[in-house]
Amino acid sequence: MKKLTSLGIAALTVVLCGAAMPAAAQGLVPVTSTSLEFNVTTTIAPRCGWAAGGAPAASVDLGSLDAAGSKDIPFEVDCNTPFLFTATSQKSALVRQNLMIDLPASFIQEVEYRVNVRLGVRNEDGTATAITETCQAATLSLEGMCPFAMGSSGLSNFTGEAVATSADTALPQSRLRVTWNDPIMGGPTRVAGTYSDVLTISVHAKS
Amino acid sequence: MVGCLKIETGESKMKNLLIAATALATLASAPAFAQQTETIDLTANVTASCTAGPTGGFTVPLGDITGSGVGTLDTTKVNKNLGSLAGPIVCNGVNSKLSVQAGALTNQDVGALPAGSGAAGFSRTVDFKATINLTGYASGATSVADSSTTAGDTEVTVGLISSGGNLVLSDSVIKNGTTLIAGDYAGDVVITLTPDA
Repeated sequence: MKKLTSLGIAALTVVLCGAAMPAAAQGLVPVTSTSLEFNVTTTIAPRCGWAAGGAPAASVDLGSLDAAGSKDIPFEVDCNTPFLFTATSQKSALVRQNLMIDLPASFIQEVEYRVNVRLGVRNEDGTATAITETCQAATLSLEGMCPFAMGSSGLSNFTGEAVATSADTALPQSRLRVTWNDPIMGGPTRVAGTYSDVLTISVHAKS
Repeated sequence: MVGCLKIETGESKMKNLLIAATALATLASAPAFAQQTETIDLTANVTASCTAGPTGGFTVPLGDITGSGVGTLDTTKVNKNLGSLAGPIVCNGVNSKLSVQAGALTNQDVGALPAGSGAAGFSRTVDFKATINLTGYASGATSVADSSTTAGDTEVTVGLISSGGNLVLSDSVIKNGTTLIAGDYAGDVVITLTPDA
């Protein structure tokens, strides 16, 4: 990214070359040639978000929680500047809708799950790589223990100085992977029904 | 857009410079988003199911059910708490059903009642009531009973179950008569768990 930044703020020199005209025709002091030099600078605005058509699905059916399983949720980042990735879990677990109260300990209405994030990025040295991290959903709360949980500043510090642009087709596929375990043998029974959670994920330009 | 521009006249030069400066300013101030957020609604499901002890049934011998008189019924031989059902019952559906169907004790040796008015009073059937009592946790009903005097079963919603259970027979009575015809009698109790989320 520094390379891009350097290009963006590099001084562009414009040399304007005047045509030599006969002094008499111009009525000016005769000169053989002249030049003007202008220093022009510009910047490329930081851009960070989902690539066109690359936003994660707004709704994902994980299927059955009767046994262990996982589900991938692909997305594509388009950030021309170092960026931050954050994720938060609204309920810290998959929680049964229409919760029942006063259940005995032999039943549970929450299923813990993990979120593995893989971000395909281009490093400062030009190499393409995948940044991965796995966290329990329970740690994806504000100021949670997960490296990509949202901190008190509203940001994480997960992705360092890498960038990921949509035109960079050599990058590894970015995705979330949601994984859950089998019920604990001899442990509480998962109550039948529909379970849900809301994951909120963001990419921010690192300023 | 930037580079070496050939200047023809003073006016032309200023015009070209103005165009270049305008273009650069536009580039520098182009709007760009620097943050995007997406919410992902995750849904999943847990299937309703029930488990119990060994299925396929078991046999409970009641012995001689005859009372002190000829062909009479000793109800105490039928009206019994048969004890715990084999294994714990677990259902994880909040609308799980438990049904019981009592099948009368019927003479296995005599297929039909004798004909004729002289046969009046004889019977080859003993009716009874079967009751299942849940002894642990159930979010709904904790017992269900069915009498063999009526056809079909009786079903209740027991919801979540994590419980043992026992089977009680009661209200035994000779059906349509006073004297039981001798022979072997057999009946049954069918207990059904139906998972339902």
